[in-house]
Amino acid sequence: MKSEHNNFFRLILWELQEYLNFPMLEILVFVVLYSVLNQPTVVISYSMSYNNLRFGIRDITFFMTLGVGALVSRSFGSSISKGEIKTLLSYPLKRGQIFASKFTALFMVFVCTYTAAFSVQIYLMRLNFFEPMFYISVLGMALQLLLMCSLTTIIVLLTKNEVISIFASALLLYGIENVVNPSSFSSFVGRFNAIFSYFGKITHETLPVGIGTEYTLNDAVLAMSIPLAISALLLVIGAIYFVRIMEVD
Amino acid sequence: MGFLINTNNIVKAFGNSIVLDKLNLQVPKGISGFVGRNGSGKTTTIGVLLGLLKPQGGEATIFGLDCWHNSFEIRKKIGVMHEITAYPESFTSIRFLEHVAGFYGRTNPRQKAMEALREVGLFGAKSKPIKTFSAGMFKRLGLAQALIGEPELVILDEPTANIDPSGRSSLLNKIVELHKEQDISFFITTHMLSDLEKICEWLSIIEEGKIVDQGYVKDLAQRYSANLFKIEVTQPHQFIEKLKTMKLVKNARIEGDFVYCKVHNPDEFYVELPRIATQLKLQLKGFQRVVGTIEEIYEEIIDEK
Repeated sequence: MKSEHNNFFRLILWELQEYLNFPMLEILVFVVLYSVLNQPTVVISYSMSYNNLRFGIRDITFFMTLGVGALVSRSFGSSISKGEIKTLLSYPLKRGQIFASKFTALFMVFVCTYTAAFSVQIYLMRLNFFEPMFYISVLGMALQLLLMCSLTTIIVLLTKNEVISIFASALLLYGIENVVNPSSFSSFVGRFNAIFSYFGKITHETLPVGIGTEYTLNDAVLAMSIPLAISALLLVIGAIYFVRIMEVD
Repeated sequence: MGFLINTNNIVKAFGNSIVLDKLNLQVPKGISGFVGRNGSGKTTTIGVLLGLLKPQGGEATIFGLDCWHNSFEIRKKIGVMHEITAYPESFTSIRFLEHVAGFYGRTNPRQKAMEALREVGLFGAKSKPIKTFSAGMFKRLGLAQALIGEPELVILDEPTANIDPSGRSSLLNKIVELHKEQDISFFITTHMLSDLEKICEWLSIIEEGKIVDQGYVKDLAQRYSANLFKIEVTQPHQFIEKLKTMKLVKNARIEGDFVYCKVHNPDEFYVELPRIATQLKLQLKGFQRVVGTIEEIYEEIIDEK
């Protein structure tokens, strides 16, 4: 059992070294910094400046979609097409370990990179480091990243092609955001508004600027549960496919 | 006889194309060759043996364990070098092998990685990124990663492809040395039959997804070379012209002072040969059956089937 844990962490290191080496990580950091910091400041009053977190997060969806699509597809897609999975499956590694480690490594990198870049907002918006809405924003972003990673993983496993899956996942994810009603929970913006508004009201005792609807605890829980449930379902399907069905030739 | 690898009527198709058609492969301990033309199903067979491909029918076992369901257990005891290798190119060779040693649960992966690099003569390149390696170095690295888990069986898919003659020779010598010193069995697929000639004890021949014959090389040689004769005669050119007109003779060629002749029926040829010599007024200095090379055995088997 200990050796299996060791292999899991070893695979995560392998993944980080192989797929996030120069220039991928540098490109990711640049894209993230650009997307996070290139947001307009809407609220003038510093007492209300936490509101900028909402606008900031909302507007980086496009860049998140591209970044996640490219990196997840590159990692899974190219390791299938170039034969790295075949090489790994020649060693005493369980398929589940390979799947879990790849996904974990990528998700960790996205969350850490976006959170690190986003935390610059604490300084720029003169927020307190203990501003709860910063952490709520990060939570909302992490949930969306989880959903994006899961969906892209499924697409790349089915297509087994890096380029096709980058386009398919980016079009699908960005398409969903543009087709559905932005105030519904099908949209990232709708879900994020519900979470941000509910916790904003609790912590700052007024609704955030620009949100007329008052959301309840149930709404906030539902907004958090949707990406979690969909991601869990997609990951279970992906893991079953990868472990039990997928052939590597 | 107990076989390390045993497949029983394996069927594998991709869409409508049947690649393995009731394949019955047996491989004993030792150094074994697996030969066949391009597209005959060699790499697919390896895929099935490693649990990478699921056969539609039949069963495949290594060490008596089912290749699809017990693939993890099997991989603890084998090393593999694929034909198309995809090692992490940004890694240095020592870092890569350290990871692989860790996967096999070795207690001191770095030490083990250094030993493996020394074993294959790559110690001097331990800090070089893999992407800077030549084809020969790549193959040796492949052998190192296949050996690092101290396997009982090593599967090598086209190990000598794309490497120069000296690299090929040193790799083959290493295989023989490892077999003799560490009792490691090797299962080698290739279409470079001359490579197998030097090292192989057992041969399995695949054609269109089926094993057409297999066995110890010396037995196959006896069986299939019974039809090949080496003849020493005065005026070999005149002699060979006559041979070529005979229905009994499959083909004939001159090599040096000798005539090599493949026949359909050796017993009949024994009777006919002195008669032809007398008829042409040639002196028959000697003739003998020849134990063929693997290449000749292969051609013979393919022709016959």
